[in-house]
Amino acid sequence: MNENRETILEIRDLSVGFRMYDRGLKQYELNIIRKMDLKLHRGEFLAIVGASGSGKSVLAHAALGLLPDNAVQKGEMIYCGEKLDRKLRKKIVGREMIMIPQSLTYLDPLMKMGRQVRGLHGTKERQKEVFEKYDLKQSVSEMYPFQLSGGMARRTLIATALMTEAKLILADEPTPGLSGELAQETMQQFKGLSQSGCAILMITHDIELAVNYADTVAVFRDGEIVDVCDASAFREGAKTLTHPYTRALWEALPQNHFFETIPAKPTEPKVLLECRGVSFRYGRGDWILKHVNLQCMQGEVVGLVGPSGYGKSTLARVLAGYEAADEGEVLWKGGALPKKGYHPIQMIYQHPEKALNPRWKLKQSLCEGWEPDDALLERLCIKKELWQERWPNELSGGELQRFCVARVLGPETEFIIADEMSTMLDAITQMQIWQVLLEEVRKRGLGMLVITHNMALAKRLCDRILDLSEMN
Amino acid sequence: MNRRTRTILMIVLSFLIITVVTIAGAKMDPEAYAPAFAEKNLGPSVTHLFGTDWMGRDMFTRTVKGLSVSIFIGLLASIFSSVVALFLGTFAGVFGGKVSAAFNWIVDLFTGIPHLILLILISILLGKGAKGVAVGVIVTHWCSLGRIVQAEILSLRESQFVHASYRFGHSKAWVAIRHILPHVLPQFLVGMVLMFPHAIMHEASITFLGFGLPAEQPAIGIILSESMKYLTTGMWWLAVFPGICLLAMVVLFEALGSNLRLLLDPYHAQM
Repeated sequence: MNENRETILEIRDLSVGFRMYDRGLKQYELNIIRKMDLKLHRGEFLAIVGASGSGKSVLAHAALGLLPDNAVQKGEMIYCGEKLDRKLRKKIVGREMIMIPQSLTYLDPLMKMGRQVRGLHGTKERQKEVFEKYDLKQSVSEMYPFQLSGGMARRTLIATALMTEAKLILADEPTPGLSGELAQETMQQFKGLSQSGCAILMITHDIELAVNYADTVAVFRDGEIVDVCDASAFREGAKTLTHPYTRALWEALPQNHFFETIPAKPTEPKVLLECRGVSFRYGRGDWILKHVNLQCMQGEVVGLVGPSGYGKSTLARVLAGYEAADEGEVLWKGGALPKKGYHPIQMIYQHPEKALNPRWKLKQSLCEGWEPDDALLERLCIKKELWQERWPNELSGGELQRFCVARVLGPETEFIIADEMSTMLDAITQMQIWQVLLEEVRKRGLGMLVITHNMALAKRLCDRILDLSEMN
Repeated sequence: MNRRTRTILMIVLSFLIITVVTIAGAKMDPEAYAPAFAEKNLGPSVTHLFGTDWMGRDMFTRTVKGLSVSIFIGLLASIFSSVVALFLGTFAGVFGGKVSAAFNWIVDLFTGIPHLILLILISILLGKGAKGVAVGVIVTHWCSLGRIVQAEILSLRESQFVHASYRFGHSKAWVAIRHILPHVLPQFLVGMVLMFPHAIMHEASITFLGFGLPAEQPAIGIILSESMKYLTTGMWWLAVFPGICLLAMVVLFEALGSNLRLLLDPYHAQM
C-alpha cells in the first residue's frame, strides 16, 4: 500500500562508523550502522526498535548532520528525490525536517518557552493555535523550561514540530521517563501528525509502544535493520512474524511468552527489610516520600511500581542506606542497617555503564565483591575469555548489565534492590537476565525489591506489587 | 598522520626545547655572560646573535641563562603549588560539607586579591630573592587547580561505581586509591603543566618590577627592566630578543599543556 505514496526519506546503503584509537596510536573504525536501507513515505509512522546503546540515535544524528568529527559516513540519504547534503539541510532542517528532542535538557533553560517553541521560523499566531490544539495555556509561553510539568513539557516539545509545515519529523526516544498514560498520549499525537500527512521516524527501545501506534516497525540489531514489517503483524500474534529474531523479540516480552517464572518456596514469614513511616526530602525541597510503610519478607519478590517522579528511586536509596530518612526508620532484620563490610543489601542500577568504573577492565569490576563461579557466568551468557579483558565502553549496555548482576550475587548477599534494571535493554536480554536472577533469588531464598514502571514485567516477576503513588 | 600522532609529536618537541634551554642555561659557564667592555653596545651580529649590552655582556647567553633560571623557579613553584592544590582539593572533596565550604571561602579570598599585588607582598615579606618569588607563586597559584580537584572528587564520590564499591565492603582508603585517584590524576597533570607558564610570567613580572630576583642574577625580568633605560638610546635588541624568547617559552608550555589535555580528556581523546 506504501508503493504509490511519495517517498520522503530514502536511506541507501548507509554506513556510519567512528574512528577510535586503539591502545596506541593506531586507529580503527567502529561500525555503528552497516549498510542500512530504509524508505519512509508520506504519512507513514515508522518506528525503529532496538536496544539502548545499539546506535539507533546515530541514524537521526546522521540525517540531521550532527555527527561528531571522528565519524565516517558512507552511502547516501535522499530527501524527496534530492540528495541530503549540507546545502539541502540548511534549507530544510527546522522547516520541513524537524527533530523532536528527547527531553527538556535540549532546551535553553534561560529562554521563555514561547520563543523556544517558535524557533527561527514560527510565528506568534501559529504558536497560539498550536498551544490551543495541545491544550496548553497561553501563559505557558511566558514560562521557563523548569516550570513545566512532565506532561506539559512533552506537549511543548511536540509543539515545536508544528510551527512550520513539517514533512518529516525525527523523534529520538520520545517516551522514556514518561508514565504509561503520558507515553500513550504522546503516541496519539504522533499518530495524529502522521495522519495529517507528515512522515514520522521514531527511534525507540520500547517495542510495545511501537507496535501499538506505528504503521511500520523496523527491527534494529547490531548496526543492521534485520526486519521491516507492518505493525499489524505483531498484533496478530507471533505466528505471522516471519523473521526469527523479530519473533524471539516479541515472545520475550513479559506480556507474551517471557519465561516460566518460579513461584516462591513457602517458608515461615520473616521480615528482612522494613521501613516504617519514612518521609524524605532533599534539603528543604518538597516532600518526595511521606509516611511510607513497606515490608519485605525473606524469599519474597516485591514489585514497586508507579509513575516517574513519585520517588521510586529515592525510596530505593533510602532503603539501601544512601540517604537518611527525615522521619521514620529503616530496619534490617529488626535492627539498624549495617554500615561496615560486605553489605547484605546489594543494588543493581538502571545504567550499568555508570555502575562500572570506566577505567577498570571488566574482570576487575566483576571480582570486586566476590569471585563469581564459571557456572553462573555461563548462565548469564558472559563470554568469559572474550569479555573479561575488555573495557566497559567496548561492550553494549545489555552485556554490561550481565556483569552487574553477576557481581552482586555474592554469598553474603541477602537482599537485592533492582532499580529499573532492564529498562534500557532489549526484550531478549531483559528476559535472559531476569531469568537467571530470579532463579538465583529463589534457589537461595533471597529477598528482592523490583522497581519498574513496566506493569507487565512486575506482574510476571513479583509475588506482591505495591504502587508508590498510592502509598505516599 | 592522525591527530594523536601529531599531538604526541608536539608534546615531545616542546618538552625537548624546554629541557635543552633549561640544561644549557644551568650548565653555562659564567664567563659566557661576563662583562667584556671592549665589546659593549654592539647590535645583533653573527658572533653576538642578540647583540651586547652596555657592559659588553653577550645578550644571547644571558637570555638563555635567564630563561633557565625562570623555568627552574617556575617549575619548582608550580609543582609545589599543585601539591598544595591536590592536598587541599582532596581534603575538601573527601570531607565535603563544611570543609568544602571553608575551602571555597579560602579560594575566594585568594582569587579576590589581584595576583600580582599578593605576590609582591609575599615576596617583600620574605626578603625578595628566589625564595620570595617561589613562595609567592606557590601560595597564589593553587586556587583554580584545587577547585578542579575538589569538584572532580565531589562528583566521583557520588558516582554509582564508588557507591557499589563501598557496598562490597571496601574501605574508604581502598576506594580512594583504586577508584578516585586514577580519575583525578590526568586532570591534575594537565593542570600542573598549564600552571608553568603562569608561574614563569609572574616570576618575570615581579622581577621586572624590582620585587623579585636580585639585580646581579641574569633573570629575564632583570634583563627587561634594565633594557628600559637603554631603549631611548636606540638599543632595541636589549628588549626585543629576550622578550620574544620569554613569550616563546610561555607559548611552548601552553602547547605542552593543551596537547596533554587533548590526549587525556575523554571528550577530545577520540578525535
